[in-house]
Amino acid sequence: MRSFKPFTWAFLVPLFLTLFACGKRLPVTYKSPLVGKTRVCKVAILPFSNESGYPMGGVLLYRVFLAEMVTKRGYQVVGEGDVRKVIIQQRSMPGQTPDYEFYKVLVESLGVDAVVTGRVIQMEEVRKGREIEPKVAFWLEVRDARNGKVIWNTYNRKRGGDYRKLMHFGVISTVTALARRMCDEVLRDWEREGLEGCEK
Amino acid sequence: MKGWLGRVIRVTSLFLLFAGTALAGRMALLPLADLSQGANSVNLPLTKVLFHELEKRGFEMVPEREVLSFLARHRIRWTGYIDEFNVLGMNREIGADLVLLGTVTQWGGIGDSVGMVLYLIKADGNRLVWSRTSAYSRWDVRHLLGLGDAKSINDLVPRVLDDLLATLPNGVRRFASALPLCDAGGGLVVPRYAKGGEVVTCSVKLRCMGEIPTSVYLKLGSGGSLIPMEKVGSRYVAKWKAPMEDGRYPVSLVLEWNHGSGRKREFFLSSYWVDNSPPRFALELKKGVLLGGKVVFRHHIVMLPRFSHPEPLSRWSIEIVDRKGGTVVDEHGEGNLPRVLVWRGQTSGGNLLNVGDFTITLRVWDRAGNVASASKQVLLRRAPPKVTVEALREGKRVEIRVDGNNGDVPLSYWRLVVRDKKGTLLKEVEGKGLPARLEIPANGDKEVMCTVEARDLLGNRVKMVNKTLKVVTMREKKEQKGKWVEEF
Repeated sequence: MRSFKPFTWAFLVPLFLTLFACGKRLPVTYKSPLVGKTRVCKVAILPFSNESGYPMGGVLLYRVFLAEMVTKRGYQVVGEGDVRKVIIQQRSMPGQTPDYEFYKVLVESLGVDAVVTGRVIQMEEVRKGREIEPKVAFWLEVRDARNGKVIWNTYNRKRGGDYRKLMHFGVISTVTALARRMCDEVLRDWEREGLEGCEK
Repeated sequence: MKGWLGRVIRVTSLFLLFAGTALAGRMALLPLADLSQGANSVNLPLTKVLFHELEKRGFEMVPEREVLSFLARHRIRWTGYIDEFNVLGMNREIGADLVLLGTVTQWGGIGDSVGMVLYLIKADGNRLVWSRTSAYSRWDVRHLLGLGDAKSINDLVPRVLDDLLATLPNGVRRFASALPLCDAGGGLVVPRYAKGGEVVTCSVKLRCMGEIPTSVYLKLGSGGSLIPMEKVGSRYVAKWKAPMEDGRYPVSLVLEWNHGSGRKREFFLSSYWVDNSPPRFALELKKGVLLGGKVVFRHHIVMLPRFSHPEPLSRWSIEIVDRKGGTVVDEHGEGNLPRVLVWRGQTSGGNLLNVGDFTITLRVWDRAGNVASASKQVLLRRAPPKVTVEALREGKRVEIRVDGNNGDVPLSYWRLVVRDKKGTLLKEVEGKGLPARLEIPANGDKEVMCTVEARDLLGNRVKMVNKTLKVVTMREKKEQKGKWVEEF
């Protein structure tokens, strides 16, 4: 029987680990079992909660996600000002889980089909040698605007270095750019899983 | 020939006019919100840079002073977002067909980064038509031998703006909103949850630009009745009786300019609920012992309200009264009940109660004011058991008699240890019920040492250690008439 030399092992083990020792693919999307393809025309995005400690992290991700959703063109996205107006009119407290009534009002006053809620779990920029590495993690939920029930639930967590292609190429070094890239991934994932806009 | 020339001139003029209107949209740039400075900050220097960049790229911009004047007039303090009313207001007052607003997401920081998000809103239909995010750090701008590297974050700004504005669409049709603008600021329906027949009041403050509506109505439900609103001070008010049937009733506001002219606007305002049924719940008690159909406790009792159809509550109260009807606890709370209610046998003032029979009454009010209550009787028994021990000599025998109880709470355990004066163990017995009799070897001593311990079902406990007990005869016992009985 032929035995491998130490040099061969030193080459094979890292190769094996590189190819097969990957974790779960992110973003991860969980769908309600009752939901098949979902067609969404008008979407309202509720302000995201910030659990990360990064100053204004919730607003940052909110605005980046809103921008990405508008860019997708399939959806008609309600502006932040109009969403905030309903929140103020309904006296919904920040951080409080909106009740069924709140969603009814959203449908009646804005005519939305779906509502996106989210929370930022991690957002930071860490100095790594001479580089700055941003880290972002968040949960996003798509709710049926008629009843507020969650129909999609997505988790995404990335570091700037996750996008490295070769040497320094591809590395993302700002929280904003990383958030933009991650939001884009989530929207692509939703599209792949069957969430469709209606303006295509 | 003359006619031909005239036609050419007319067609050319029409084309130029059409092209002019098609691409003549004016853009208003709102001051950029700056998240790096906190929630309410704006970055005016960067706004100016963006403004000039847009002008350079051929966009027809609404002058900055007009935009700032509009913001001041309408008391708009946050610029990262804008609602429909203000978008249409900008269209009407300063002729903005497009509103560009943005947020500086990063400015400096440990990464020396600049990040921005821009949105473009079209006044016609209040639609978000374009958006873009861009961010760079100094680390992103590195070249061979450091040539052309960004020295500061100001060097990153042109790069970010180039990236952002590369796809910004230019040219929209001129748009002017036809109707006078009105928006309901602070529309209030009171109560939001009413009983059937209760008077409901709606009060609205209108924000209007241009002509004020001549008639203001409320429309109840889809296709429901119209109720005219009266102007009271700066608000419009209407009152009506809630229908008797349970359910949710949407309320819409109808504005009319000159009745019959067709100039009318209707929009959803709020909703209210009619609820005639009180909450249904049962009060469950934990941590007590059930004796004779009543819950008895020593230290504390846990009250768990179980709702058959849980619903939000407006308030609740808990009242505990003793057998004579005196209130020992009277507590109230707003909103939903706490997850657990615990009573430690104390009054509302904090005094510890020892023994007593009490009735606990929990009342809850739902959001419409329907009240429901549930009561339970509990017995508080905190006193230790009473135990008596006597030693009787009958001839050569010495009998120890142990008796005790704790009222209506039975004993669960007792233990007796008898030693002579020298400490020699004579007897050690334990059991569950009293009275009990036991014999000890008679050695002629006039006294014995006893250690007695007793506990009731609730855990109330008494323990006497090395108590001296006189050994008496029946005759001496009768003579002493109980004086000799050692009572613990």
